[in-house]
Amino acid sequence: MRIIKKIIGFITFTLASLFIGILMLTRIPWPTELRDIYETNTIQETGAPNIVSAIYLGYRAYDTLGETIVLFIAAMGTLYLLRHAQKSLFIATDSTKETLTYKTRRTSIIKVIVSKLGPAIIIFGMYIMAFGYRSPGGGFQGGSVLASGIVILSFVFIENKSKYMAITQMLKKIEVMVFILLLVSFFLACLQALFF
Amino acid sequence: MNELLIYLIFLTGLFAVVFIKNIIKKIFGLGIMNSAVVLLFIVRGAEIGESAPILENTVYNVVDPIPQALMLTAIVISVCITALALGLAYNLYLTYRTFDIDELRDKIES
Amino acid sequence: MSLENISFLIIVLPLFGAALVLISRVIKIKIIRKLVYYLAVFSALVLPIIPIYITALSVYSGNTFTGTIGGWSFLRGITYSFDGLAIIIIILGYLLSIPAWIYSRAIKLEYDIFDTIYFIQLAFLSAFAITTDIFNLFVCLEVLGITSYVLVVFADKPHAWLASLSYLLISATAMLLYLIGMYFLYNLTGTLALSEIASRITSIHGNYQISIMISATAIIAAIALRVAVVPVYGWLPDAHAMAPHPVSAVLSGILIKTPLFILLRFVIILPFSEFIGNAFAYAGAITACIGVILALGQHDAKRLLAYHSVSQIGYVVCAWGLALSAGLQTLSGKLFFTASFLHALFHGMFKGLLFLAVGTVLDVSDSRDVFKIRNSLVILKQKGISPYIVLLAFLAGAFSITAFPPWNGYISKNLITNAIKSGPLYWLLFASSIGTVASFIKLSQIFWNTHDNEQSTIIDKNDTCSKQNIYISIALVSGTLFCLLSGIGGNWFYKTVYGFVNSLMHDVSYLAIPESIYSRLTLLKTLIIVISGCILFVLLQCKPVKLLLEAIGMRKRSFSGLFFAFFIAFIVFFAYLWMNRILV
Repeated sequence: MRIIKKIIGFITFTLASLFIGILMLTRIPWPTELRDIYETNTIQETGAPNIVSAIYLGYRAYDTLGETIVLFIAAMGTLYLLRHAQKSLFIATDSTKETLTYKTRRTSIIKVIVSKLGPAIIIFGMYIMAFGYRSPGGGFQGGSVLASGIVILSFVFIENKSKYMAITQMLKKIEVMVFILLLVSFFLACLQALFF
Repeated sequence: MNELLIYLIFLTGLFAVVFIKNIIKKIFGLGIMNSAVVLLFIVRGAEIGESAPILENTVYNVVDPIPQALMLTAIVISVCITALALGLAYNLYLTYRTFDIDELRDKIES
Repeated sequence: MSLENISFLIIVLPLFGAALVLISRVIKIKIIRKLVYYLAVFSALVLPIIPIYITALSVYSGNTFTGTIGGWSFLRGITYSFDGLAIIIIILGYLLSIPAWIYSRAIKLEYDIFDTIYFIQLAFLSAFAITTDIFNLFVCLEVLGITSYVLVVFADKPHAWLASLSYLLISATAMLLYLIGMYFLYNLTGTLALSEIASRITSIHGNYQISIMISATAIIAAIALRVAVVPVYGWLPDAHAMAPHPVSAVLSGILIKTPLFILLRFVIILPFSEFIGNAFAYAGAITACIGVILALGQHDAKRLLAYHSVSQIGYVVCAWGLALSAGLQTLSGKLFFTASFLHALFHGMFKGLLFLAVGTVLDVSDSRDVFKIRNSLVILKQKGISPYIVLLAFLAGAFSITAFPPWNGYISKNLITNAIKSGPLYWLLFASSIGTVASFIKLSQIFWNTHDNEQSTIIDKNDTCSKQNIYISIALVSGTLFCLLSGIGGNWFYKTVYGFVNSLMHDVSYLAIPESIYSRLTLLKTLIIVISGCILFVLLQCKPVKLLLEAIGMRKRSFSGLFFAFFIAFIVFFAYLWMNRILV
């Protein structure tokens, strides 16, 4: 029975991926119409030289709102899950408890390297953010670099659980502020559209 | 040629999501698939031009900016999905000490 | 303010409410905190009724409006359209989410997070309904998806985590297929607006037929996964059964139907949409049957209800598909579409009611097994919850789902079956109705009294319980009233929805409910269904039948099975389109 199921699985997988392959490998000349429209109109309409940013934050800002809300909900959901994971740590049975402690075999290599490298990464991220308006992709990747710098630093500087919990509390507050900022900017944009 | 390579990357991810039992690897598979889709958009979109879509004095013949803008959104969404999935996997692991999805189902339903 | 700006308040107000909930979380003074919180709830759930009403009036009189968000010129911005389809979906969303939200006050939750996510979901339901941009459709689907994964997680049970994870993995993969389908359409037509794709695709159609079919299949399969049609329904029973009760009600009531109706926006742009309609009609009828067969073998009460959701969505999908294959501009197409939407609306209400009522019983008793819970009226009374309201709500839901005359299910189900008239689809739906009756007799056992085990008479009434009781009662009574009123006033609902559907075609004419609904023949049919349902229930008590059904219903399901089912759906659907092309 299991073998039959496996065979069916492989056949369906192969067929489905074949179809996806047809779709991916069909070569049709890429359309240029929209590119030309943006190329001629972006500067007059938005004033931004970076077309990607103009689309991302101007023409299709509504998509970006949706995307930010996805990010926001994912952050909220993940934090909620992690908080509840902390609770279930205490319920865990005795046999499993010992493996769950935060004692780790951590050498000082990470600490030394990260504490030197982390600030450099953060500065680099800020640089990319600041010059995002004239680099491909906008300030987006700057944000990613900055965030990865912060994550690396947090590996070193969060040693025990109490600190971790304190940080979750702080994150909760940041979460609120960011969402409010987002909506305020959205409302301002709406108002601007309404009255000006 | 590019598309073939991207297609292979996509298949790698799809295979991982469907056939590998470890949840973490499934989630990575999802990430790989998403990267393949992003690459597909960007690579094909760059066929019609030569320079980055930043309009300055001497720049002309830019690549298609639409796929790039869309993929920024798609990347962020994929990151969110990954984070949430990892959170769920972490919780499940803490409770049942396993990442095997069939084993998890057996343990939960028994 | 112009009308368009007022209409956008439908989306903005719930988002504003979500923000206010978050603000209230950081305020230290208790009175202000409460005030802000109530303001948030008011602005998210009550205030949007005004813009909805204004927009609905305008649309009903044939004045639909379209444009681009942010006022950019066409092709550059994101296009939207407030038409009949959008309005009926928004109304569906609001009608069902208010009682579910009231009920959610009665259970233990982290209210601030729950409310934020709930309100955002409500906002994006409306956003999903109005968008006509293929990439914005993707973003809205992702928002609705991620809110439902998180809402399922609120149950705080490992089972819910696994259900949420399975749902997440399968639907994230499906959404990537959607992106690939979108990639091809963009490559071919060079635009993202659906109306523009429609006009361009017909001129290029000839050269790339196969690829267009595959990309359409990818997009339709990704959306159909959310609707839970056969064979891609596998994620639904777990997710819906394990979620908190109000979330189950919302997921079953709203979130599995909106993608189906929005799919219409995509399907009608394709040159081969009537074939797709046909395929969906058969898939729907089969779904209706399979859902009931699986439900009959279930032990877990909420899982049984979840399988009934699968079965009832089959009716909706069947009528929807027939509407599409008849063509939306024809009269029969409109009638099918109206019937389909009415069943979606009524099913949302009675299934929500059933989830809430049965959930209340499950909360007070220690088991989830239909065969073990007994005397629940007594237990409910002990816990300080009015037992007769719960019983009434359950009966209202059960009579509606089994299509008993004055209740609303009677109207919508018979509208669908009378319009089909005959043929295999009719008999599939007929068989599924019989199964539904039997299954609900089985479920109603949880209210039966047995006297063999004496109940302990500990009464632990306290303040929180009476408060809980109020919320539960309000939610259940309002649901019951709606089921009854919409059953009695079915004509009004029918006329209104028909008007909205008509406005899709820029046509303002109205139609009353067909007389045949209350004819003797239909009543006789209902009687036959009920009697054969009772016979089936008796038959089910036989050992071999019961064991067989349980073996089918409780079979071991694997995670990869979900994917295989998805691939099979993909392949079969494509093969079907391909066959039709060869034949034509």
